[in-house]
Amino acid sequence: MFRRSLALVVVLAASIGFYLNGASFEYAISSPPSPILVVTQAKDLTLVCPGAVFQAGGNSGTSLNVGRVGSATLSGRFASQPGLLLQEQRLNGVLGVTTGKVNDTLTAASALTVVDQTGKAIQGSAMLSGVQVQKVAAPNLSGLAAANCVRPSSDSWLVGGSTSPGRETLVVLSNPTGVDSTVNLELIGTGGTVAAPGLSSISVPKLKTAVIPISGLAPNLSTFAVHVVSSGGALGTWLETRTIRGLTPGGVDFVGPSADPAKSLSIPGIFIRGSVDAATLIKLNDAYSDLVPMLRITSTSTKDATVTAQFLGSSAKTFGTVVQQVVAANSSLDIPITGLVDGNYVAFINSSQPIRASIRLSRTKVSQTDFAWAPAVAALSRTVAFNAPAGAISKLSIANPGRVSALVHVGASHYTIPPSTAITVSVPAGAGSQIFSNVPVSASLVIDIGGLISVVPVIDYKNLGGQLSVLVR
Amino acid sequence: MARTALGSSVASAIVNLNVEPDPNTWVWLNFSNSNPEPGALSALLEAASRSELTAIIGPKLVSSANPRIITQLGLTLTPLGDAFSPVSEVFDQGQKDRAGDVLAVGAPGMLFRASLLAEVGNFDENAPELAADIDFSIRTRMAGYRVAVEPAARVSYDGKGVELGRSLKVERRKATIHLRMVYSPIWLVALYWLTLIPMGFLRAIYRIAQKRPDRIWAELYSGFWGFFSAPRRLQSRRNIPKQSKVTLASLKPLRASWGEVRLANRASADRDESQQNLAAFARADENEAPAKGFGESFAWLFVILLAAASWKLFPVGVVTGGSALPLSPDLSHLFARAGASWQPIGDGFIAPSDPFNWVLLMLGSATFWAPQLSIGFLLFAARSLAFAGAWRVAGLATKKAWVRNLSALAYALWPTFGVGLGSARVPEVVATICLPWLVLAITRAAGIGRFGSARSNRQTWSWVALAGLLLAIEGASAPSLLPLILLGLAVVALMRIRRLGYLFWIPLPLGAIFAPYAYALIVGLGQPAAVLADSGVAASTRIFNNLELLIGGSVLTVVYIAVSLGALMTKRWVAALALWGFGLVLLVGAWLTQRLVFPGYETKTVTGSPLVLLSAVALVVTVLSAIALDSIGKKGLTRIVATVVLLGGFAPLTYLAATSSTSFSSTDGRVVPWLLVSQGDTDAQLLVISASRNNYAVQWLPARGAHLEDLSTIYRFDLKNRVNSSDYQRLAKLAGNMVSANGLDISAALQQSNVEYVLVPNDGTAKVVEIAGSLNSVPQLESAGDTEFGKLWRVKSAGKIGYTKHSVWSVTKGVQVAVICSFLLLAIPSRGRKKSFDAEIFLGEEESDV
Repeated sequence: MFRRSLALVVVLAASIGFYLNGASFEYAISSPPSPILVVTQAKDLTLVCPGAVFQAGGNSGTSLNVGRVGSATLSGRFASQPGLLLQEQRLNGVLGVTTGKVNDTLTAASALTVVDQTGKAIQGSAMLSGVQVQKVAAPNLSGLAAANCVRPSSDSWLVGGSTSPGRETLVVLSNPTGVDSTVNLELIGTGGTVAAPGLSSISVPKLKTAVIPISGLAPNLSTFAVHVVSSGGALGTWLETRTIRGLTPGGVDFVGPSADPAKSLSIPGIFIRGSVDAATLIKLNDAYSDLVPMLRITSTSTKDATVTAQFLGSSAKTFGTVVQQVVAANSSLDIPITGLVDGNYVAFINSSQPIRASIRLSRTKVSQTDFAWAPAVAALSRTVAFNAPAGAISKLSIANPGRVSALVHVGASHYTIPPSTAITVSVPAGAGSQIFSNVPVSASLVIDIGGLISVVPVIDYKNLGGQLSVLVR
Repeated sequence: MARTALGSSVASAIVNLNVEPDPNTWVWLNFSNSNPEPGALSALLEAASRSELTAIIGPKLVSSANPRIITQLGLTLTPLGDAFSPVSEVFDQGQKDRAGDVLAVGAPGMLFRASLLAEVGNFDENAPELAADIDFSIRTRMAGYRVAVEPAARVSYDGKGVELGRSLKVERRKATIHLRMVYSPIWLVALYWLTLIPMGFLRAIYRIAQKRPDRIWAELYSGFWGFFSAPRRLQSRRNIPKQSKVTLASLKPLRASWGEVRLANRASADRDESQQNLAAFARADENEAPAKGFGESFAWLFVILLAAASWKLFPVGVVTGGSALPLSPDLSHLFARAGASWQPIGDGFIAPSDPFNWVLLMLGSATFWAPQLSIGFLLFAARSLAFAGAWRVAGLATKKAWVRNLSALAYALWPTFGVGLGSARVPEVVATICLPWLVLAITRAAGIGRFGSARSNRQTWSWVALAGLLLAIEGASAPSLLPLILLGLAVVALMRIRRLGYLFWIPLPLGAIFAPYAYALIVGLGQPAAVLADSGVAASTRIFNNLELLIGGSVLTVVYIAVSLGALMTKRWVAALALWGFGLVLLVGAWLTQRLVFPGYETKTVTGSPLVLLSAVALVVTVLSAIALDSIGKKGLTRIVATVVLLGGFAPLTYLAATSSTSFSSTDGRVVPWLLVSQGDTDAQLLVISASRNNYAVQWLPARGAHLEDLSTIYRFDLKNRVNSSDYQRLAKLAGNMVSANGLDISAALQQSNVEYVLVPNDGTAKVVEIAGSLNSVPQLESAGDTEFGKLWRVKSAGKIGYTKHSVWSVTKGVQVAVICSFLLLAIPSRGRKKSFDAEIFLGEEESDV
């Protein structure tokens, strides 16, 4: 029995020894192949701007035509270098390339292209950027509509808009290429994909802009996101959305392409003003109920997304709020954000599934109202340029979604942004500037003209190319 | 001329005798090792005096060691012309004591008339050893004389001549060939001569099927010998008496019938079996009573239960995802990819494929009508098959049915096995299923085990072949386990050194399929440790910490581990200690394996999988549990322990098995869109472009896509060298230009790389959208639509791309196929004949034996 017990002890001791063995190492057998670095010439950078706002129904609201109203002011920046040439093409259906101007007045949509004969210039918003602003005051259309000029894409998402009574949403599709494009639209509503006629096989001829009224195709839809998929030429895409309460216009805005879906998003530039006036209006008339800030989330995931949105104020008086909701798979959801007093906010959103998001916020000044869609903004990883339009108060809201403080350079100034907070920086009117941070930050430009508001994200533009790392297997 | 010593030495001795060719003069042949008993000559002479026609009389040859054993009493030919001794190794009870005519008699003790030398000539110097006396006798017969045996004349003799029925395989076959070529009509001889070599190969295959691999050499060598020594056979034809009216055909009544041949073979097999039994008896291995069979033990109930617990794995389509890719739907593709031949991935190359491809071919052949389904069936049946194997291994340690059932269940339900099943890690699953069967086959071949072993040489050869094939499967599926298996085999060989002659052959199939692959990795690529890389899809398992390794991945095994510790307190504690030692070595192996980092394919690197080593630990626990449970004698205690193991071990493990999730799905088995499936047999290539955070990954595949059998470990390890080649650089540039959509003309690059389709898997990321946008604007591409595999583009200007047919054969592959087929033939049990001779009392034992 002694020998057996000894055997047991030996085995137990060996097992315990095995358990306690803390050695940790890795032995690499061979090495994985290194990616091949190839230098390819990128496609010339083109930005397309939507031009003046559209008015469906004319001033009377009964016309069958959709026409433009007024003109938009383009404020842009082109970093001229030897070998680079800025060209402009008005999207009026006629091929006519002219020397490009980054500060211009636009009626029709317009495309700006930097022709790079060597193909070696580094593309980005630092090379070319532009934002257009238009203050409209037509009988049934008023407000401030600002939009970034965007890089044409064959697949984009537009999160915003409504087709409830008194609300109108148009899809603006500008084709800056020399190839006709065929577009299919997909609407993701609260119950999933919305079936509606006329959403597919929409033709957008080359060098032209097509306007598709969602209100006509899918009326009474308060919550949706639009997915634009084109074959043929790539398109610049926007939503133009307006509000009329009775006979009173209640604002207009452009909604640009959404950032890529992600599980963590940040929405800077939530500037709440006139919340007391808004509350008064809501009390008086239910039609003003949409002056309450509202978060729209669209999930195209196959699983339900549990979303937590944290609204952080920039001062001790503005506490902010937290909301949590489950967004069903492949659906859009509106979440009203109540209780926000006047102040500057940023939203940090976490989700169990990748989502897209934007916030509709309103500006109320006595009885004048306007609204803006502030989208979630991709974090910037390199120097990016932005433009403050002339004649407007522009404030840059910069959010640091990371876990370490960010040292941000805006023009010649430096700012430190603690983690999970945002700062606001005033930008001189009519000035272009650059932003650079040591850690990725998100930024939006809040534009205010006479109490009317618009929010445009600070984004980067880059066509694929340059030095690419390709793993062949 | 040592091999024809008989013919030439007898002939020269007779010549030296210089006897008168007188019919009344008799010559009595005796050798230095023959010892006539007193009265032998007089008995022979008396027989000679009975008939004037009798020209040759042979004695009864007996063993000098035991004179009661008759070793030979006349010779004849089988219907196929083989030299045949009708009486061999027979106990002399006087039952053969009737004198009579025979076709021939052996030279030892032969008495013949001296006049024969003049009439039919001397012993033929060209005749092989075993043919010389038969040839002399036949010539005598053809000259019209009688040849007879006289049992009353006894000669004890120990020479080769009496070993006709036992060994002397080469001589025996040479004798047949000689006699055939001497006594057949000349046209038949010509035909026979032409077919000698192919016939040698066919006969060798037949010998394998007969489980007589010891005769392969004799068949091949004799075939060549007969072919190249034909002139000497033809020379021997001159010795046939010219005036003879007697033909060999007319002597048919004197030749052995099929029945006699069968009886003699049966007797030989029985002798072999009784020798085995005696050996087993000497080892005290033989059990006092047979154990209950699989059916009797109600083990089949657990098979059904395990199948029910595997309900999540029930095959409803082709297993895709997890760590599995679909197999090719075409069995011929599976065969083409096995062995050293053309590999279509990348730019195509000739290299040894993964040895695991042979296993895939075997799996695919099991469901030959739809090879893709085999993996689904395998996963579903895996636990049941593993249980059946472990049940038999447990039988090495116990004969109690309940112990075998309970301990084998541990193996089938071991949590780490569930990890492999859940993620469809086909190689690990195959290795886990085969491991107990391999252990069983090796122990049978080595004659280890308490309850019976192989009952004859033929059965031993079957076990050897089965062990060889299983070792090849195991090695191909789990190279990380291979060193320890070979170590175990070496230990077994040392323990049973007398069986080395059998055990030596077990690694042959493994060597055949593994050696070219290992050579390519070690010598070709200079990466010896790469042979340890896991087979199949390169995917990491999760890293188990030390405690998880010890308890098999889940705390639910603790009851079984406690029971197996109890084995150390039993009478068989030494064996238990050795097993524990081996188990701990396996654990250390598992620990080391998951620290190995190999180049990946989908991911950058993969770690070694410890799953098979942990399965081997589970098998050790199974045997240890069997030892521990077997030792419990008291009935009351038995009930308590059985209940504890059932409720504390079996029940929770079953629950875990039934509820664990799977990471694969069932599909229709396509790996590319329909459009490409229809383009199967062309050289057209498909580019699959995907994007990770910082890289673009480009897969360069044949248009029919990559199936499981198309994966190549050699390619994976060689890729870091290949990417420097101009082909790969060109392809990278092509991909870069496509995703940039910069308008450069890429027609030439597309054509050079044979690219006809471009696929971008749709993972919903923005990068994909961006790539798709770029490809949409590449003028050389046209969209072929959205498919379930992603967005597809067709190259517009692609001319008709041809099809280069690559041979599926190579010399190496030929050898591999020959070895595998030989072992398969050898492994298939030939029991039909055996059964008819079995007494009924043995039939019940059959089940427990296997």
